[in-house]
This record gives sequence, C-alpha cells and structure tokens, in this order.
Amino acid sequence: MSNEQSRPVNPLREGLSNRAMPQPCNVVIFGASGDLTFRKLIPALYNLAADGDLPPSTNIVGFARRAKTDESWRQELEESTTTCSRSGINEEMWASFSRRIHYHCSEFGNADGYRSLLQKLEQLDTEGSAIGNRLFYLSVSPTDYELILRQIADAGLNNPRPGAWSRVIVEKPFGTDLATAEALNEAISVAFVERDTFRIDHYLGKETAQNVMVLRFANQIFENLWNSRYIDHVQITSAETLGVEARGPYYEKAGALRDMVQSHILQLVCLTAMEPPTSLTADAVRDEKAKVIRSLRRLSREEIARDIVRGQYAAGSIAGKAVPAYRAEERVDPKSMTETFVALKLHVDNWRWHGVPFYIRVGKRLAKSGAEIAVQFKEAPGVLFNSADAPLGPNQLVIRIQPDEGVSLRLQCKVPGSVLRIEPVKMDFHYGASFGRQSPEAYERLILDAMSGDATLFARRDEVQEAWLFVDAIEGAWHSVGTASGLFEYASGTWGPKEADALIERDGRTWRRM
Amino acid sequence: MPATADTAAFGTPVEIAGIARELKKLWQADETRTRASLINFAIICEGEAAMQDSTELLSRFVRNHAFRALLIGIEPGVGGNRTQAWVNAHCYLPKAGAKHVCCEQVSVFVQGNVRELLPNLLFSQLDYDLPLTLWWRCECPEQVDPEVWRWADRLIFDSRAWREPRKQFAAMREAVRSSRTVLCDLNWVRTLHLRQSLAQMFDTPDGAAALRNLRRVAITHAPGARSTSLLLLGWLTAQLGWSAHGSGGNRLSFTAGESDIVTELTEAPGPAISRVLLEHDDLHVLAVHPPQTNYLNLDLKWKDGRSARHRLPADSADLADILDEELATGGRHRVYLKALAATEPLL
Repeated sequence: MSNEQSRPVNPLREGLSNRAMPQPCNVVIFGASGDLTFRKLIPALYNLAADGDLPPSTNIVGFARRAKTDESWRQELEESTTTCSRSGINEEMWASFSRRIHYHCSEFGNADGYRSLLQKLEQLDTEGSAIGNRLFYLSVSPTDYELILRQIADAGLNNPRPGAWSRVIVEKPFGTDLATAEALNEAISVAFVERDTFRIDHYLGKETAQNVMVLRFANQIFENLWNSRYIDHVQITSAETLGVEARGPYYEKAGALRDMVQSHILQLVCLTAMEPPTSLTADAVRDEKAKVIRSLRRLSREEIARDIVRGQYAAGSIAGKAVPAYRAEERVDPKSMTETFVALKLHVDNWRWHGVPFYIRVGKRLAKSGAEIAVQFKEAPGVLFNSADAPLGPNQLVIRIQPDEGVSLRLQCKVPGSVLRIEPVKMDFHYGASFGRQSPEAYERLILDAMSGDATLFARRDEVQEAWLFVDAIEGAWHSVGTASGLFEYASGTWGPKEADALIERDGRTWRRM
Repeated sequence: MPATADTAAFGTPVEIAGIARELKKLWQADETRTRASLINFAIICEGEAAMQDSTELLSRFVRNHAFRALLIGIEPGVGGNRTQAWVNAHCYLPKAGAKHVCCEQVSVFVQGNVRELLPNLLFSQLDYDLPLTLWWRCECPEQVDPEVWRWADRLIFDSRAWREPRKQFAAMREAVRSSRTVLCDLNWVRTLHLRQSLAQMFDTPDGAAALRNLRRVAITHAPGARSTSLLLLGWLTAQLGWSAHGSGGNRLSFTAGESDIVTELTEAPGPAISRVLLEHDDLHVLAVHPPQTNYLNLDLKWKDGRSARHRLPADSADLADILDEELATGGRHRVYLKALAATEPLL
C-alpha cells in the first residue's frame, strides 16, 4: 500500500537519466535458496550496483527455510554471481554490495518469522537510508503465494511508514487457470493494491520486445501500413531446442499452452496488435494491451479442433545427438498427454485487424531455438512486375526477439543485368552489430522499474485474467469428454507435427523458415 | 607526413579521389565480415602522433559503437597544400561462428591551407544519411571554417586540454550558436559517475533538505584538472541556484537565499577529481576516489551519529572510456550548458 507523499525533488538528478528515478528500498526475496535467486535476481541486482544504477542504500534480505547465516549466503551468492553475472564480478564492488545482503531464516507459514522480518527491516532503515520502502519479490512456487501474502499482511509489512511505499513482484505463472489466477489476484489484493503489484514476465524486459512499440510508434512508415488493408497475416514463433529438462513435474501440469501462450506469446500479440496508447504511462499502455486480449476471438469447440494443433515430441536428434521422447523424460508420465508444441490461428476482432490471422507456434525440441514476430504484407497488385505466372514474394517485416535480436525487411529488387529479373533481398539490422554494448538483462530493467514504480512492462490484473479466460476455453475443449483434440507426435529436431503445417497451408500460406 | 612516418596503422594508401572505390573493394574482398555503421565519426587532430593515438582509440571502442571513422590529421601552414589518404577497417568477432563486425576508417593527412581544404575533405567522405559526430582534438579554432562545426550533429571536445578555456568556450559556443549542434565536452563526461553518485546521496527527504542548505564544498583535483573541478562546481552552482561572489582563486564564495557557501579547490596528485566534501549542519557527504581504483567511496555522516558508506563506480581516466561514455549517453546536454554558464565567470 503506497503512501507516497510529495517527495522533495533532488535538483542534482536533472539530466543524469531519462528514466523514472528508482528509490532506495529493502528488497526481500522469498525463495532465497531458489535457482532464480542465484542465476538471475542477485546477478541482476549486482550488475545494477556495479553500473551505479542501484540506489546505494538498497538492502537485500533473503527469506527462506534453510538455515544459513548472512555470511554463508553471501559466499554462495558470490560463487553463483561470478558465473551468472553478465560482466563477472569486481571484487571491490562485490565487497561493498554484499555488505547489504542479509539472510532471514523462516518457514513461510511462521508468523514469528514475519514479525522478526519487520524488526529487521526497521533496523536496516534506522541504520541506513532506505526510508522505509519495501519491495517483496515472490520467487517461490505459486502454491506458496497466498500463504506468504497473508503473512506479510498479518505482520503489517505491507503498510509502509508515511512517505514510503511497499510493493510486491510476483513471478509467473500467475495461476494455472482463470479460477486460480483470480484467487491469486484476490490474495495479492488483500496485501497490496494493484498499483503496487508487479507481475513479472521477463519477456517484456527484453530489448527487442520493448522495441516493438518504438518500431511501430516512432516510425511513421510502419504504423500507416499496420492494418488489415496492407497486412496479410502475422506469424509469431517461439521455438526451443531444449526439452523439459528438470521441469517435468511443472510441465506435466502446464503444457505449452499455459506455459508460453498464456503469458509470453499473448504479450507479443498485444504489442503487435495494440492501438497507440494515449501516453507512455503504465496504465495507458496496459489499457491498450488489455483491449487486444479482449478482442481475441473466442473459439468454438469445432474451431479449436480445426485451428489449434497440439503436439508432443517423440525421440529424435538435436545437433547430431539422439534425444529422448517427452514421455521418456525424467519425472514425466510415460503415458503423458501434455502438449510440448502448439500451433494456433488467432483472430483479433477489431477494426484494424479484421480478417488478418495471427499464426502462433511454440514448442520444445524444435529444429532451432529462436523467437520472432513476422508481419507479412499483402502482395503487390498483379500488374506490371507482379504477374500471375511469376508472382513476387510479399514484403515481410521480421522482429527477431532472440537469439540474434534485430529487425529485417524483405523487399523485391531487380537483379543487375540486361533482362528484368526480380529477386527478394533483405535489409537487415542486428542489435549486436550496431550496438556492441552489452544490453542489461531483462531482470535488471524490470527490478529497477519496480523500484521506480513504473509498471509499464508488467502485466496488469485484467490482462492476466483475460488471457486465462481465452486459454481456459481452449484447455476446456481439449479435455472435454467426447471432443478431446488429438495430440500429434513430432520427431525431436523437426518443426513440429505435419498437422501444424496443414493448419497454415489450408489458408494458402506457409510457416516462415527460421 | 614525413616519409619516415609509420603509417601502417592507417591501412592501405589511396588517392583521395579513389577512397570510395577502395572501401568498396575492402568489403567485397571478404564475405565473412559485416560492415556496421550508425554514425559518421570524424576526428580532427594535429600531427601524426595524434593520428596514431586516435587510430588506437578507434580500434578499442569499435566493439561498442558502429561508425565510419574519418580521421583527419592537420598540419597548418607548412609549405604548399598536400594531402595523403589511407583506408582501413577495425573488426571484432561478436561471438564464435558469427561474422566479424567491422567499421571502416578513412585517414587523411592534410598540410598547408587547412582552413580551405578541410570542409571538402570532411563533407565528401561522409557516409550517406548518418549523423556526424565530430571530435575536435585541436587547440586551434582559427584553423577551422565554422561551417565545419555547424555541420556536426555532435561536436566533441575536451576543455581540460585547453590553454585558454574562457576564449575557447566562447569561440565554440559562438560557432554553433545558430545550429542544432550539441556541444559534448569530455571534461564534463569525466565527472559523470561522480555527479551521479553525489546526486544519489540526496535522494532521501532529509538529504534533499540538506542539499538546499549546504555550507561548505571542498574539491580536490589533479594538476591540470582545475577546469574539471570548476565544471563540477558550476554544476552545483547552477543546479542549486547559487550566486557567485567574485571569481578566480581557490576560495570562492556563493550565496543561496540568505545562506553563504564557502568553496575550496585544492590541487593534489591523483584522479582528475579525487575528493569532494559537501557539508551541511546535519549531514556531511564525502566522496573519495582512491588512486588506481575504479570506484568511489562515499561516506555519509549525520549529526545524530548515523553513518553510511557506499561504494559506487568511479569515472575512468582513460580517454577511450570517456569517449565511449559520451557516445553511449547521448542527449542534448542541457545541464552542461547551464553548468558551463555558471562556470565561465569562475575561470
């Protein structure tokens, strides 16, 4: 619950940064022993400190069940940060940064643990100048969210002192369906108002995802063409060569639709399809994204059976090595019906996108890893160069999200020579080649945004619920008795089941070759 | 350039008129290389040694910035007009298996009537449609047609090296007065991290209140870095709305409302700015940049006995790092112009 009063303006800050100013705070990480803390969160906080972007009075308090001391946790973190930080670590900077790291051992359900946490935070405030601001990071299993949030509220940790704030960052998944998402949102709202709730989807912290809005709304040439009059269809692909690795139990319950489509992919659909926001404030941007999700055509069971393909990887080979089938992975049911691949044809039913299908494909153990948004424009009129018997290919604008971030535009061009021959060429922009500086990790940007109170790159309650509403209808149809959709096998190392090819070829189109 | 000069670092010698053709050949020769360019980066410097040094700098920050470099070495007033040119590329491998990313460098050495020759040499070698960042590494503003400066989108210079800063600031400002050129002083960038760190110390409510009632400022600067310390003081003066009383010397007095602020400049070996003390009745903030380190120690002491120590990144003394910071930061440097206006009377 925020209680930010008119904070005195610091005139020395003028011109030093064009971003909202992060404020010093105590960051409490629930799940301090977890993988995310070691691999992402602490390296992100360290890099912010090493770059001078983390307010120096910020303290980090790890909250977890295992017994550790401040010093032992710091040593573990130093080892992992040395490996996982994008810039390694500088001993001098680490020595200073690690002095602000503390460990708090408690069971998540132990009220005493939260009362002593409150005392610890107050003590840190007194010693330093974090001025009572608190940022709680829930890096734990979603099943622990409600318990932790209730304990935070019971201990009064969510009530900041006058002039300070208290915020929470929640990691995805935001529920497993609409009902659990609503329950989670209710649990959050007991302790934190929506303005202080930051649902993190690290995809939105990636430079290229942020660049979608810049590309669309800072370049007049694209936005004028960005509608059903000029665009034939959009393809969004997120492919991984990895299998489920150690995430078998989680993945068995989630599947590709819940794991990827409900969050990352629908966020990319939103960025691609949204109307220009009235401003760049968090709510203005999220209002437009929420409208896109509400505009997604709800599919009937017949349409779901026809326009959505589920797949599961069978044995195959990746990079010259044999890999097992999904059902042979560790801690996966040998008769599992969980999808590791999904291809969908979506429609955004609004004026701008009427009649423009969005083809989505996500999957594991595919031929190549990569994520991209491809906007395919309509063919040039069938006169002059674009004759019916020798059609030219369409223009295509591709926004590559990973791994080789960039933008490319396919154009038609005359091949030099005395005869008229036209071939497609590609104008290609690579972030890596043009901007050699290392981009900050997505978590760095997102944590700093939360400390600044800027929720633009975080999902809002209604966005999440609308996304679940859409996904639940599909899951419901898949698992209904009598209408259950088929689950098609595909060999690992390929581009998914042939039924996915048929889905798009039926419309006279093909998947892009990545 | 004398025949004995080592020009190997500049690449292949070419005729001025054949530069474009030679550059084309450079890229056609090897398909494993990608040419990257986001800006025209022109450097104008005096003499062969400065050209060698500039080439070395370019090769170091090619990883962070994609450019076409146009390095022009000048030697004014030596006999008749004479020019020499070379083309070269700086490459790096971003990751295993990827193409080399390369930036091209055109080097030109010009002797004689530089003022007359320079504009065409510069304008004719720019890459199409890319902004021009011009780094003026000379002491001799009279050797340039102001048109050259006005063409630049960003004009980089280092006022620390100036022997007559007051005169040179005025000349530079006058030259770009009616243009959109952004003035980028490396002497200002040299204090970027220090300014960021000091600013962060006053983000809290009591800090912000203290800032408005500072009593004393003490800055220790390296020999030859007095102008750096004056720019820092100019920044405080402009941002905190102080009025200066008199100028010159190492003890300068200011007022803010009804309060007096005493400032002291001290020279000592070490980093450009090695120590800054900001004193208020209730809060002392001391920033120290230990020699040979890349961090700042910031100590805060409150009257009530509280204290805190922070370690933050310090400004690098390496010119390549400073230049890299300037190119990465961008912006129109409006705060610099305010700070400069407050600094000029102190020079």
